[in-house]
Amino acid sequence: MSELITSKNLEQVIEKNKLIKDDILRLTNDFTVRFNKLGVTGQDKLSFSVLKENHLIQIPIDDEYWGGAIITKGSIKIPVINTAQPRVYQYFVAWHEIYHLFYDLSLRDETHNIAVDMDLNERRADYFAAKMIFGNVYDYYYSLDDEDFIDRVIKCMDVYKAPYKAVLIELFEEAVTKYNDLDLKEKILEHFDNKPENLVQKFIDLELDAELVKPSYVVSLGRLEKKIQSVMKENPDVSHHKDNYQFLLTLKNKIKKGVEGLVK
Amino acid sequence: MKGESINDLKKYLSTGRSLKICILDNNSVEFLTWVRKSVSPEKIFSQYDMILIPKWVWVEVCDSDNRKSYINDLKHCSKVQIIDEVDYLTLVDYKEAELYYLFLYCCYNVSRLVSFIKKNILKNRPVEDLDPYEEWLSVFYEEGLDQKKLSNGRIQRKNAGEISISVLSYIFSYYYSGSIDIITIFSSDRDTYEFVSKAKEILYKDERFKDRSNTSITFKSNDLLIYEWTRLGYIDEQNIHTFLDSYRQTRRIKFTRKKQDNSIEEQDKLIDNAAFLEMLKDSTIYLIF
Repeated sequence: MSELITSKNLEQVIEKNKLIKDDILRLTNDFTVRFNKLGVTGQDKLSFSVLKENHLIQIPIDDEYWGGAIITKGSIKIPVINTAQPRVYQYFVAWHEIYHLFYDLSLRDETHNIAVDMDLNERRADYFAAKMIFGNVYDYYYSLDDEDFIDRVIKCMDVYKAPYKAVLIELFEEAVTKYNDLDLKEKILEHFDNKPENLVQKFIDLELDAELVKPSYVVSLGRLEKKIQSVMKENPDVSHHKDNYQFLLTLKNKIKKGVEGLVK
Repeated sequence: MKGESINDLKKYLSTGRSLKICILDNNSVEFLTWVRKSVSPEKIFSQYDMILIPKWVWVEVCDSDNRKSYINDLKHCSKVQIIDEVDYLTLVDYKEAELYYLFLYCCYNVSRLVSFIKKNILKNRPVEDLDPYEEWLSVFYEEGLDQKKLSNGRIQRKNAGEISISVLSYIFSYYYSGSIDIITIFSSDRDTYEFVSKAKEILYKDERFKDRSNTSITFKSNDLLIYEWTRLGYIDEQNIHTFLDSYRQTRRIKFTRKKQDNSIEEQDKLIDNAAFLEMLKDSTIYLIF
């Protein structure tokens, strides 16, 4: 993902967003037309189902800063998502990776395109993710009658299935560029760098489903098992498919054992 | 062969003659011992200047006395050589890094082996810092390849033969293309075919190899041999039925067929003996594997 966003550079982020807004909105429309032919309505389900068609690998990795990536090998591009991160991050990362998978010019060719500004490119991926996830979060925020700022933000997280900072950035953008809402702007700057410590407990206290802020620890190896099974069936006299199948199962078991360690 | 004799082979390969070379796989040797009474080795091999068997294959051949004596008798019709994998380095003029890539690409179909090579042989170092070839080759053979104990007590290394044949054929293909016209692998093992095909795909994209001239590598599977023998009249029409019943089973065949407008269709199909018999009569068909 892009550079670490803090209250200090939040304004710059909004400035950058202005530059790319038209472009990104065009891509979000393009995505809906091209990839949501079945009319999936849940944004979280939609992103994962599209990624799965592109052999998404889901594995828990014990690294809180590593959300996911597109692994390129020759002309093949495989998305990976870290399922040891809370689900809200996974949903955001999924959209971020969809941008890279379909719209990132630096990944389009086999050769790395150095003409692309990498920082701005990551901003574009994040902004694309935000635009796919959020509806009118500003109005939703104001429709909540909770007095406490954090409680309202958490309710926004719950409704849009979005990470804490992503909610704040979206609110900040609306407050600054559309409504000149100085009061909200101040509140966001005040809280931006202090994400609530125990989000799970906060969700429970607010009678929300806390699963959203917990990891899912899903292990899924991009439909590889099915793929190998089918080539095994087609070519019974080729032994290396069986070997590869065994290797995959061993690998999967290893990962699952590792997961047990993570969950404890 | 060791030391001196590999240099003799190198000299022979560099004479600039249009050599025809055949590399034998164990499964084909077994098949040829069965059909020996119908088709003599002379008829099959006298057209080749040289018959080669990598040592890892030779070890498998020697599990059967029949196969071993068949190979020993081949010496009457052509030059037969068993090549130790250690000598591959001499054959590639000591270009160790290139030899490493040939091995890697010939293993590419087996994920476990690719992972083993990267982890235990390359060990995250640049390819220039590899251990000496002889050392890593022995690590690869002893630890990388799966093993199974045979009833005769010998430890069999899985895929050793296929990999060695593939590497050797690419050594001839890329390093001696000027003096070799034909490199034919006698094998009915689909793994061998796929190892060679996969390596070809990668070599054609690889900067180190893609622009070099090379001799193409072809196959003679058992089915292709039978097809050839019926054409040449080695097996006559009355006997073909019995011949197929005794020596052939349903097998997947890759072949081409010429259509009425002279365009060519490719097929890859499971063919039983009845269908194969029909194919033998069809002159628009060319077997690939």
